[in-house]
Amino acid sequence: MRFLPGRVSPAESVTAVCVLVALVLAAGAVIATGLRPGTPNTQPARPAVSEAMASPESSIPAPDGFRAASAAETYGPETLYEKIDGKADMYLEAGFRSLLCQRFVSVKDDGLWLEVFIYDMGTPVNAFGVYGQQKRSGVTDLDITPFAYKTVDGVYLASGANYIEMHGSAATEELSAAMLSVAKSLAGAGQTDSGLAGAMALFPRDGQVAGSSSLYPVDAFGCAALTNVYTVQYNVDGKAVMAFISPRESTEAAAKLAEEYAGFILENGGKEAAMPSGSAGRIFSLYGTTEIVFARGSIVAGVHAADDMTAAAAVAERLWSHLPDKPMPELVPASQPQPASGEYDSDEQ
Amino acid sequence: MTSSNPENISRREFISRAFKAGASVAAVSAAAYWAYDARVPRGTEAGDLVTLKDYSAPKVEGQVMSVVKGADRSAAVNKAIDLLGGIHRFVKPGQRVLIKPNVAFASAPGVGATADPALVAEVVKLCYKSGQAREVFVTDNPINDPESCFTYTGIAKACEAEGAKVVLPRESYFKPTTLEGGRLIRDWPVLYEPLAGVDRVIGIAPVKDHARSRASMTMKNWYGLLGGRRNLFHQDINTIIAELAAMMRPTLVILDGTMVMMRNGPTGGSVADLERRDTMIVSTDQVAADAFGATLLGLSAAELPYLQKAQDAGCGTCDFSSLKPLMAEVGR
Repeated sequence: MRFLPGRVSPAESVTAVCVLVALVLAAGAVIATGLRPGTPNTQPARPAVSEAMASPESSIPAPDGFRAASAAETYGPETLYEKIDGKADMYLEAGFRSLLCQRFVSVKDDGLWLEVFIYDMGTPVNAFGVYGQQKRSGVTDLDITPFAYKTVDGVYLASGANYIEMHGSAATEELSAAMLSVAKSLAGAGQTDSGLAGAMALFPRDGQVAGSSSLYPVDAFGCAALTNVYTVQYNVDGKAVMAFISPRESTEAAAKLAEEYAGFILENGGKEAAMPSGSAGRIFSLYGTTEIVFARGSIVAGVHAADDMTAAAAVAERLWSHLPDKPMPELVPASQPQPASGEYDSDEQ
Repeated sequence: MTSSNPENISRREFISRAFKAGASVAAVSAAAYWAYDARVPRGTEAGDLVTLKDYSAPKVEGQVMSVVKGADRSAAVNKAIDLLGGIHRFVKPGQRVLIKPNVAFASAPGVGATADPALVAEVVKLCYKSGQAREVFVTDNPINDPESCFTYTGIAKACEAEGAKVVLPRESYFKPTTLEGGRLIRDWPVLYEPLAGVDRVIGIAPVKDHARSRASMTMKNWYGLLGGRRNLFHQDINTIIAELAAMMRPTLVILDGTMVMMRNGPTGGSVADLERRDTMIVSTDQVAADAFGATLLGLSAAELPYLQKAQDAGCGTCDFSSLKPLMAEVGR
């Protein structure tokens, strides 16, 4: 280009620079607006399911006699609602990381299909938590892992850090066998960790209702302070009693939480009663049910919502005797699940 | 040339400048094309907003709600509609009817997460044969792939067998709407096209447990008419359900409490989550229908705040007994 000296005045130069700056600012504003989370009407009328990524490389092996109906799909915390909708909250609050799922159809009958859901919950404790919260009653326990059962049309298990569900389109032997074979092939991937096994070992075995264990990672019994709570059902002369434990970091922390939970019960209408002679802890009557809470070592423990006070006291007494009177900080998960915050996703009808 | 060229530029300079100018225009055009988002709906001028029609049928005192006990859904829904005056009261010859079942998930029909296909098909049949409807459409906007949902639930097959047209949602079917006095439904995309040309709307939903709202029934079923990132509304679940009831004034709602999902809702996944209640509720008052449905889950209306909100908004009454529901049994 030929340079033409004296053709551009200083005023023209300043004007040109101003115009260029204005253009850069305008471009920046346009880009920023485009990247901002949309107001409702700037969103697609229908969010694409394709936000959940198909994952052919991580497909689940098809059971014998079945073929994959489609590629496997994966969902993360931002897209989980696209698959399980209103249930997403529960998983997110329990430490959910990802979901891998795939549907398989019988090669003989298109009407027979099963869908496999593998939730990566981050830790075995988290996986056990969502397993316990959703466990159905009247089911058949399986010995695939310590926490596994089947219904007439589904198979459910916690395996390592995974919570696995399988839903069948009908209650048939063929589907049940196929789901069991998939469960067995997936169950080898992970074993129950020492923290979870250690926590469950704190419950006395006598009188336990098989397969009744659960974990409430957060907000146990409606109390925000009560986290990492394991529960087991007991049968005392035909009366059901739920016992619970919550491992804490130290003896002091356990004592403090026990007091806090007792205060929570009182604030919510509980009336304190006298503990049977020789028993430890505090006992409350709450709308016709019995609550017992105590701290032993670094464990907060007790009984929740028992219909029968005598049976509740008996279970609490056995639990107290079974718990070690020493700190057990190794039972506290390294990272406690936190309630989801902000704009988490859930959707359903 | 020189006389008409005050800057005295050369031909080479002219061609060079022209080429650069053209390249600049092309670059800007390419950038604009790259940035253009075809998915964005039209502008938000007031003129673009749509308002849903009032599809309700004329009120008849004493015939607002019916409750029929029985395990046979088809028999129960026929009886329940008969008690309210028959399908002729709601569907006139030559009318177009839209049925909005809950087709939220691509799950098996037996697990109760979606409307029962045989029940929906029975209502299609009623509209055609007894109501002499001109056309019956069936639609929903599931968040899962709609085709999978309509296929695996068996609803598409059952309805098409009775002559209904299954309308799968497309982007162009959504129009923004604002609910007058609403706080959440403001300039929000709604599945408008299937609603625009019909005379009657019938909602069909199962009674089921819901992790967030405690119960999902006929009012929650309208959630499937919303587009956009509607999951954001779950931060205020009671308000959105009440606003949905205010947005949609249906001809009739059918609440299926034959097998009720008592736990692990809204997805469920196993028949082990269901309990038999053998109850079919049909009503022109969706609030009353849901208030009754709550009892099948062991809940009272007071335990579902959205019912009170909907009542306050004039959508119906939580006090279903004040309507003196017409009761009957079939097949017993």
